[in-house]
Amino acid sequence: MSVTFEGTLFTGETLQGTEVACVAIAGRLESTDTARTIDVALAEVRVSDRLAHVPRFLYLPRQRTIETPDNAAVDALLAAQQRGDVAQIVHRLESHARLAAVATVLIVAITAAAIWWGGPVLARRTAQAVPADIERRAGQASLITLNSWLSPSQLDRAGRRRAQAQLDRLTQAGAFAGKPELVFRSMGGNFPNAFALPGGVIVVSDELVALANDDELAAVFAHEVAHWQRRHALQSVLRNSAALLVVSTVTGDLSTLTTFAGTIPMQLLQRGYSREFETEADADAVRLLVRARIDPASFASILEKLENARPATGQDFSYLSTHPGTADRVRAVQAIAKELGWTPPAVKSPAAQALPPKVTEASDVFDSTERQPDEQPRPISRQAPSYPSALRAAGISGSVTVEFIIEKTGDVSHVRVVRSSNPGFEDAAVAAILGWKFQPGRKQGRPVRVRASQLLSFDTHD
Amino acid sequence: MTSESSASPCPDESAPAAVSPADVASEPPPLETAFAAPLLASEPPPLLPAAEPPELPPAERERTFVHFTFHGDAREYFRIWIVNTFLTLVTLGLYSAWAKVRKRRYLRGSTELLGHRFDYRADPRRILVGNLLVAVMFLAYMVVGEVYPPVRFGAIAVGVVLLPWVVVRSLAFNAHNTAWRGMRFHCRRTYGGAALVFLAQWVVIAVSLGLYYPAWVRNRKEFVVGGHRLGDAFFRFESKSGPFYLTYLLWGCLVFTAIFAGTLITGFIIQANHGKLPSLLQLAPFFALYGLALFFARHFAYAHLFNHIWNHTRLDAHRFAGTLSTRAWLNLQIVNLAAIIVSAGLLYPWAVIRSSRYALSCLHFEPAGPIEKISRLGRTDGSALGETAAEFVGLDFGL
Repeated sequence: MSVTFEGTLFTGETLQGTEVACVAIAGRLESTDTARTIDVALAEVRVSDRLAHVPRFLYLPRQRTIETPDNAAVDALLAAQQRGDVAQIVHRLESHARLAAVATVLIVAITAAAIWWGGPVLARRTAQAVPADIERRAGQASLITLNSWLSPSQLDRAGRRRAQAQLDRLTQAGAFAGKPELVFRSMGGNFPNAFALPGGVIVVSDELVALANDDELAAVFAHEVAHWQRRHALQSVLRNSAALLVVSTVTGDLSTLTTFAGTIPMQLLQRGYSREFETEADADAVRLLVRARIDPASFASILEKLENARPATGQDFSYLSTHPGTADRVRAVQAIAKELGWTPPAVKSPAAQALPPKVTEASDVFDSTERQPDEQPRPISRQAPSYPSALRAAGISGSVTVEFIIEKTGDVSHVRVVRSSNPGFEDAAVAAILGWKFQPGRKQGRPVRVRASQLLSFDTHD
Repeated sequence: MTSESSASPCPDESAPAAVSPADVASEPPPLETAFAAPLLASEPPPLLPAAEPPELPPAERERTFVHFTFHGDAREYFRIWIVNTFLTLVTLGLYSAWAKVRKRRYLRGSTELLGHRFDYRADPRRILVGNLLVAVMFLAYMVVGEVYPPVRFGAIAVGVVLLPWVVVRSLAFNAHNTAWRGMRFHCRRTYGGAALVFLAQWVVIAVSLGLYYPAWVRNRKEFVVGGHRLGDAFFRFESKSGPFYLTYLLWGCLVFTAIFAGTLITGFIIQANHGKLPSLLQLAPFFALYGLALFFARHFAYAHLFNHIWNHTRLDAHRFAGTLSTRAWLNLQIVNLAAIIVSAGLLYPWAVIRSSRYALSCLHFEPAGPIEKISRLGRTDGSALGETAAEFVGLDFGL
């Protein structure tokens, strides 16, 4: 089989080129111009790879070159030689618009995935590698920023001592390394809040100290200690600054973190941690509390209190403004406590017990006694709780009373267990009630939030 | 790398590294060099004399120009770019050398002068060796630096010592692998010459508080251009520093105006904040303004010097001419920037093609006689022996 094409031959001696007609046949390449023929073995000819419509170059022995735009002929020549397969594959990939589109999508997906999954992993590793010294300096830098926003604490000595005592209970349980430091600040009387800065500085607002009882205060501190121990603040800073993350990972120089630490308070106040960090800290907090022999239910109860103390409108810088999904968290906390073998006190329902009436009632919640809505909510869809299989197998029946709020949308929120015959039924009851849907209650024609309670029975004969 | 950090405190990568016509063709410096190490420098007048004196002063003749033609197509280049980027990604960077060669070969192969295309012949395996060498050195630096931190300072010293070598090797590698009409380009510069420009003159810049910088840009240009030859025809760059000073004076005005405006805005924000520190978000306009000004200034310097540099570049008696409009170039680049940002980088290849097409349409070659007379220099020219050093390690830092 022969291949013929035309090209320009350059000798490499001068820039002078001569037009040649080339014939590749029987393992030889013959290039003929008007005067003479150059005959070389095909095996000695190297050919530039196919690349779009760029002309090809044939590299002959003794630095001679043939330039030809005839890509098809050169490809045929290579095919006959059985060479250039890999380049041909790449060329084929490059010449299809659809493949380019696929590559584009894949690159975008890989990049997005790397940022989405890889970023947090990298942030965690880097944050854990930060030396204690730099962590402390970052904490100080963020405290300075924070001081410009918060006012000095108005708390009396007794209040401070009480709070410090709760933190000491945790520290003395010996569940973590290092000694956290408590810092008191006022947040204008409105926002019960607490947060952990790098280096173990726990900032607590006067409002929170006033709101929480001893165990609840310890529970909040346990949660913050967990944030600090897991270096969530540092991780957040790293997650939010791709440039910082790359620089500190690649160079191993972590001192730049201090410069960015000033952004920590802003982030803690305005956005809070990711849900994943909160879940981690919740779990750690329960473990810490159990270790310190403090009822983990106090954590659930302070969450409820805080939820109810949230300002209805306007700016909200309180604890829960950045901690979404209280009902879910309460359930998760209870589940972990149970898992850890925490035996609740005989008279149960700490959540109900802990609710001081003064702050619990948010102004916009109606109920069935004192503040009645004009029109009571009506259930639209209800579902029976699923019977816990272990209890069914054991033939145990029982009942759970839950209290909850029916939102203006008709959805159920703020579910809490008021009474239960067996803790095993509680999860199922809460899960079921969260799935209920109501026609919302109305006051003067407008939908309002209504507090309600419900008894759910578990009967083996059903 | 240290080489980069010491060479690039000033955002001037844009000044065209007038290596060869092929280089201007293939890489519009502002785009490509934004990602590569800007290495720049100068030397005393060209060491090698021109082979033949020009027959007549060109001004007295009718000037005839031949034009560069760029055949690159944005869609074609996008496919090449995206596929090769993808392959680089899935091979964890190992394919990058092949990708680089293909992209560069496309740009050079799409550039035509006097009926023939430029050829890029680099062996990707050499570039891979160069990349691996750099990676290994960097890894060693990190690992050793972690265990014994003072090593880091030692490593910086080693980097400074290596810098001129990297410059020389990069220039040689790039030139050696660029060919036109069957003949390779060459770049011969000595370590000493590079050290003079890239180390000694940087000290002068520092001592003169940057005032020497425009002169240094000129010197670097001379060093790079003057090192090149095609066969027995030598490139020369002859210019005074004046035009460079003018360009960088305007450049400085632009940057300082931006910094001033940015500071003013920040001041207002602080005032409106009642003295509290502004948040990062509030500082965004400042950073955006500053970045934009640097971008503009960089391209301004490139465009403003383009014509001057090419008008003073010669290949023996043959000359070049530039007819680039600074305003058109800035318009082009601002559209490029917007497109790249909006497309999250996907329109980068389109921007490269546009820039190349426009820059090449503004570059002209003025032969002083039959170009075919340019011939091989010496018997060993281009043979393996002289080039092994250049070929062995494919150091190539976007000169």
